This record gives sequence, C-alpha cells and structure tokens, in this order.
Amino acid sequence: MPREAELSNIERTFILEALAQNIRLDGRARDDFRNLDVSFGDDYGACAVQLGKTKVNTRISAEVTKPFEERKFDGIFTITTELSPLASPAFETGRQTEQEVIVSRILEKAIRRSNAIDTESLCIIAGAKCWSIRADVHVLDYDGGLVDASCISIIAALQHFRRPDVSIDGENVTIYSLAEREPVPLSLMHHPICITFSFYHGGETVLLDATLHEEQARDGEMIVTMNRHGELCQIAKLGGVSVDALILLGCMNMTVTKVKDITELISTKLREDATHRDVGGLIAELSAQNDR
Amino acid sequence: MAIQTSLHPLSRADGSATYASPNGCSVLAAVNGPVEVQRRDELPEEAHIEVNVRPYDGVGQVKERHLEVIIANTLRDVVHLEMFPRQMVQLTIQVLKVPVDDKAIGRTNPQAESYLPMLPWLLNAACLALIDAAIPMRCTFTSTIVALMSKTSTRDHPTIAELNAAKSLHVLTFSSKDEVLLAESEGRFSMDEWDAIEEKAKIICLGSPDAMIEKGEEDKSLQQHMRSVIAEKVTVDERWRNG
Repeated sequence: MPREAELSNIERTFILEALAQNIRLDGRARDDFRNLDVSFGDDYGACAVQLGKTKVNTRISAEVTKPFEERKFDGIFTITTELSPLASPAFETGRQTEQEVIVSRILEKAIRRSNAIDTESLCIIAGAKCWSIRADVHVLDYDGGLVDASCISIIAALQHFRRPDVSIDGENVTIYSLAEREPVPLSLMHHPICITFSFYHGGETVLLDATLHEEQARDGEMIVTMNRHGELCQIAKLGGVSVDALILLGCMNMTVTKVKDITELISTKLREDATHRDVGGLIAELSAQNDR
Repeated sequence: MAIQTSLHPLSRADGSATYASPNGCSVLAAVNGPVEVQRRDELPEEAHIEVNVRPYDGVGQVKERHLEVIIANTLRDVVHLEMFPRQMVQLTIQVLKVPVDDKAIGRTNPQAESYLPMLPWLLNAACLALIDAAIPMRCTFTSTIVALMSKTSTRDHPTIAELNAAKSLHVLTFSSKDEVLLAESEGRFSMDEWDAIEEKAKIICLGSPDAMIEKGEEDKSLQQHMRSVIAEKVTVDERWRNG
C-alpha cells in the first residue's frame, strides 16, 4: 500500500527557514487559523466542517439499546473515526494507522471522558433501556489539523442533533417519530474544543493550525482541549521536543481566545440554521422543553 | 430539484466526484489509481479493483459488502484493467446524505433496507470519479432506479414512500454504447413489465432515440448531463491553451 509522501530535504529546509523569518507558506500569521466553515445538513446531527483544505463530516445517530451491566443509569456515547482513502491514499480501510489511533484517542479523551455529554440523561429505564448516541466522523479531505477539525465538527453536530422524544408509562416506553413530536436536543455539559500547537526549532517557534506540510516538518506537537470558560479538559504533548514552560503558558492563553472565537462561530452557525428551520416561528410552540 | 454533480471536490485523491440525485441522496466517490497493491490482491496480468462503500452512519456491513461486489464486477467490464498489471485501482464511495424519513422512529436498521435505492447513485459517482482520475475506460456508463408502482405506472427517482409502496424495484446500468451493463431487480414483476421498465430506464439514462427536439435542462438524459459536466471541466482545464 502507498505510504504518505515524505517531505524532501529541500522542502523541509525551506519551511523551517521561512518560519525562522516569521513567514508561513500560505502567508498566515503564526497564530492564525485557516478559513473555518461550519455547515449543517437537512437532517438533525449532520455537520460538515471545512478548515482550509481539510474537510470533515460528522453524523450523529441515536438508537435505543440496553445499557451496560455495570453502568445501569448511563446511556452510551461512542465516537468512531475511521480514516479512508478518500482523504489520502496512505489511509487504508480495515487497518488502523498510527495517526488514526492518535486521533480517536484524543477525541475520546477530549469529548467523552471530559463528560461533554451527560450520559445519565440518556437513560430511559435504568438497567433496561437507554439511548445509544453514536458520532461517525468521516474525514473527506486531509490537509493537516485533523484533531481540531474533527473535534469542532463533533461538538457542532452534537449541539445540532435532536433525538426522538420518549414517554414512559410504567414499564412501557413510547418513542415518537419526528412527525409526531418535536425531537429534543441532547443535554451537553460543556463544549470542549481542541487546539493543536506545532513546535519548530527545538520548541522556540509555535504554530497554530499547521497544514500537512508544516505538520510533517515539525519537531513536536501539543493538543490542548478547553471549553469557553477556560476550563482545561486535556493536554497531550506528542513528539520528543522539550518546550520552555513560559512558551507553554503562552499557548494556554492563546487557546482561551481561540476556543472562544470557535465556540462563537459554532453558535452563530447554529442560530442561522435554527432560524432557517423555524418556518413560521412554530418551533418554540412545538417544543415541550422548559427554558433553563 | 435536479441532479447535482461536481468534479474533483477533493484535493488529495487522484479523481473525485459528488453526485446528488433528485430524491435526496448524495454520494462522494474518490479514485486513487493506479497505486501499489497488497501482495495478496496482486494479479499478474491486470489491475486489482478495490471498492469501498462507506455508509451514512455506522460502519459498513453486509449490505455495503454486497454493493461493493456489484460495483466492482460492473467496473471490471468497463475499466481497461489490463493496462496496469500488478497494480490497483482503488475506489472509495462515501454516502453523504440519505433522504429523511419523517415517520421513522429513531434509527431504523439500515442493514434491513433494500440495497437497490443507493446503487445507481454510487455507480454514477464512480463513473465520474474514474473519468476525473483519467483511468482508461472502454465506455462511460449511467445508471438509474425505476420503481414499478402498479401494472401500468412506474416511477423514476422514487421517494421513500414510493419505495415502500412499490411492487418491485429495478436498477439498470447502460454503457454509452447502448448495452445493458447491470440489471438488478427486487420484488414481483412479469417479463412484459420488465421490458417496459428497461425501455423507460434507457430513456432516462441515454435519452430517447427520436429526441432530436431541443430539450430543457430538466429533461436532459443522465448521459447528456454527465457529458456537459465533463465538458465544463475540460473547458476550464484547457483554458491555458487558448490564453
């Protein structure tokens, strides 16, 4: 199977020397993100994110299953990230690359283990029935920033998703179709966003949102996950280079502002989508949910 | 709503195309090839063709594997595989959108649904992606689905309600040389009905033989549509020659 083409020495030196002069190949500043675009599909829970050339589609689906024996009061939430040859010929179907493992573990840590989804709210009847929410991440095009783009698309899709309404009468559960009752949004505790920093020149130069070429030339990376309140969810520092503590603190401050910007963008897009859907202003009347 | 297609939406794959059908399906196909092949798939005299269908939600299971086999067999008749011995043509198709069923309760089991409604769009997207990747082919092909509603009425591009009510479903694929490449059917039907359906599918795919009259955008046959998409792309790509 084909491997990802490695950077030639000339390309690598070019990127590194340009960076030493504070120039990036695409003319961005060091702390600039590429163009970020978030869009939603016709049905609930379908979200497409484009970050420069990187394209990620996420689809959330829900079904009713039996909860795990040891966690009777919790629903189930799973994230699947399967990289396919759509994104790059180096990604094989059926065999996990190292990168795929890293991406799925980071997302797992950032979203699932930071309790972004309140799994207890997914429980219908303790020990018997619960919702199983599943996020399928489809990476369509790959030009670096996979973790950042996937995380944004999952968080946006989770906020966009509506599950069918249920009513419980003793042991009987009725699930209402979308046509019968207005579906209900998931209860999310917070919205974690991942930001990846790339280190060059032994940790002296820090880049945000590296492209594929810049990723290939870097010495190390650090993925920081934070929500808009500045609460840190997870840090993963990969690659051997040691970085000065002050530079890391600078990264954290930068994360706070970037996460705020991204969360703001997602909620603007969600609002746009909501007004677009709200034909005749009926959604507020149809919804059975109380304001919190 | 008409058919919507785009060529080369992806930057990394050799060739790619999207195809959105009028009944609310959208698929994205990408072709890489010729590329290195795994030892166990290597064929001494021709290229191995690998097809991967990725569903809208969940991971590919029996239904997707079945679709992959059908698509691979169809492509084997069309692609000049003998030009790339001991190599591989890799086709990946991702379903981006399926029609929304308002009456469905939660997630219905997609594995239990018929595999036919998706098949023609996968094939059409595959054809466009192969052309975009400049893989040599004997001919191009177009595919469509026709639902038999009653003895006399048929529907092309059936909606979910029509699919559920249909007596039988038929997927037909025609080459640009007027040959039937694939005929898959499901349900009860007579031979006469099938003949009528073949006639209808042929008109949808290739246009009627006596259609010399100028037609609007909406009435274009699939083949004409495909030609115009490719012509547009070629005009843009070849602009530098005329500059």
